[in-house]
Amino acid sequence: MNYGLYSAFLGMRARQRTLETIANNIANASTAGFKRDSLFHHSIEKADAALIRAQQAGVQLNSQEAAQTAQARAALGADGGTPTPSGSLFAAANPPDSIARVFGILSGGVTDFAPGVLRQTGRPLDVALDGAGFLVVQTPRGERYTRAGALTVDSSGQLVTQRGELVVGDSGPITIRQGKGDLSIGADGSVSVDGKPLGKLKVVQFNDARAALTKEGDALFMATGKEPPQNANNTRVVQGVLELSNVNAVTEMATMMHNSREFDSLQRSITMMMNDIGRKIASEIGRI
Amino acid sequence: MYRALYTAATGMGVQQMNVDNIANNLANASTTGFKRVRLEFQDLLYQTHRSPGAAANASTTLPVGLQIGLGARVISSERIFLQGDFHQTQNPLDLVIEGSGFFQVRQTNGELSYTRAGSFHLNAEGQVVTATGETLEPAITIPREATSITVGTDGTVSITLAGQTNAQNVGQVQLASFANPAGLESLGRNLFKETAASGQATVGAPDAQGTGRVNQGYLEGSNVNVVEELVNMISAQRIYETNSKVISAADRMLGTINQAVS
Repeated sequence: MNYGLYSAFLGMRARQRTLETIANNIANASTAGFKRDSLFHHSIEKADAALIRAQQAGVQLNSQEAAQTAQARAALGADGGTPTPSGSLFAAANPPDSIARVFGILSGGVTDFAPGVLRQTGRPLDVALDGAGFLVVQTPRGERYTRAGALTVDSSGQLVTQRGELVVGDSGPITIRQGKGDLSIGADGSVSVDGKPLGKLKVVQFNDARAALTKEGDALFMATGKEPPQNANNTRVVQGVLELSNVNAVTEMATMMHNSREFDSLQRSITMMMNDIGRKIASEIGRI
Repeated sequence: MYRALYTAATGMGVQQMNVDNIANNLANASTTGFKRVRLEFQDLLYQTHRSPGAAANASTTLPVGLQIGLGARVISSERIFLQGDFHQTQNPLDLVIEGSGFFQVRQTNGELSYTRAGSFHLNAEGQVVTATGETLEPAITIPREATSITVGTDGTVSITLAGQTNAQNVGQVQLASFANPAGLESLGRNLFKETAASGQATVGAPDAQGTGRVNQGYLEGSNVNVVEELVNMISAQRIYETNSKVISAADRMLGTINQAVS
């Protein structure tokens, strides 16, 4: 009974976080280069719960417990670690055996690196990346990666982002003196004015961007260190075009409605369980 | 839960400012020399609940983390210095810059400012001034007896006096250019001011330093694209609406909790 209440509470909390994520996606629906986040939920089994408790207490599992965890995972089979999409209300509804009793759900988040809509702007310093690459920018904290291609120049003519971070070229910063002819940026990222090359934008990619990058805000991504950046050979740089956010308002709204309904159902299940407990207490105390 | 409310509020704030900006662009759709402004948005900070790559247990690491973003904000309003349309006016003191330069004008307080609006007039002393009375720099004076004024593509101003056949040179229009025109500060009245971000003005004769050529008898219209602004406005309005729906959803979920407690 307590497990049920706890599971329902965790379910409600997970849905709160889902709404927060949707709120952030929609708030950034017109942020150039923004990549939407999505949350998934997966069930916490008994073994995982023991592990979490142990981690919270700051102790390593002893060999017996570790063996139990392994056993529990084996019992669960392939389903054990599979994330359940947030759509299913009761994650792992049919636990295979008593060891794998469901304790509730845990949320994880992934950034969806699908390309955003491209919009023609005609501005010479707007660049969109057609492919999985990222522009590299220099910040006081180190190199960061971005897909927001509304570049500009600073007072000395160096190519910078809207926040003034230097855009990294293959051989250092790129200096452009505006008003000296036509600026063109080639598909390979080479910047030239009137055919005179000035440098080349550094474009990098990651095999698994979802694990290799974490969001820092300000349209910047930070490397987690899981994977070094590689030169992006298959990414085309397109001049005069901006990549908008990849948020689809309709999908977000649908998820939000679904999410609210699930939240209501969980609340109702808590009410039912509380009524049940109330009746039991009344009847048993009555018998004494 | 409260985060969702505030996050959606930042989204609404951003779109409000977006509409404010679109309104200003549209209001100036027929302002001579006006350059449209584009707002740039960025996502705010993220709260990291679990970092990607952290240890899930002794042998595996989390392939992905859990980060929840806190909304959006406007990071800059950038003026887009793309060329506007040219309108023919036949007025000899209507000048247009074909290129990226700026006219220099001296404000009444003595400060130098820059403009793309080339509709000049003469004041009582015969000086070339803007419609709001700022004098062109370097100053050019047209004598009262002049019957015709000619401005060459290199900015040379020549006049013909009554009863004379030979034109006489009275000065040259100089143009300024900047490393980063988007960094100029807008003063209103079509004027811009040099800032640390724009870099120092490089002044030179038209047609020589890549500042652009001067054409007489034309005016540069604004570079506002009305259709594009309208599309932006519709999109801003819809996103604003969607954000308000998020607030309703968060409010409803809070209400649900209150029901559970009662």
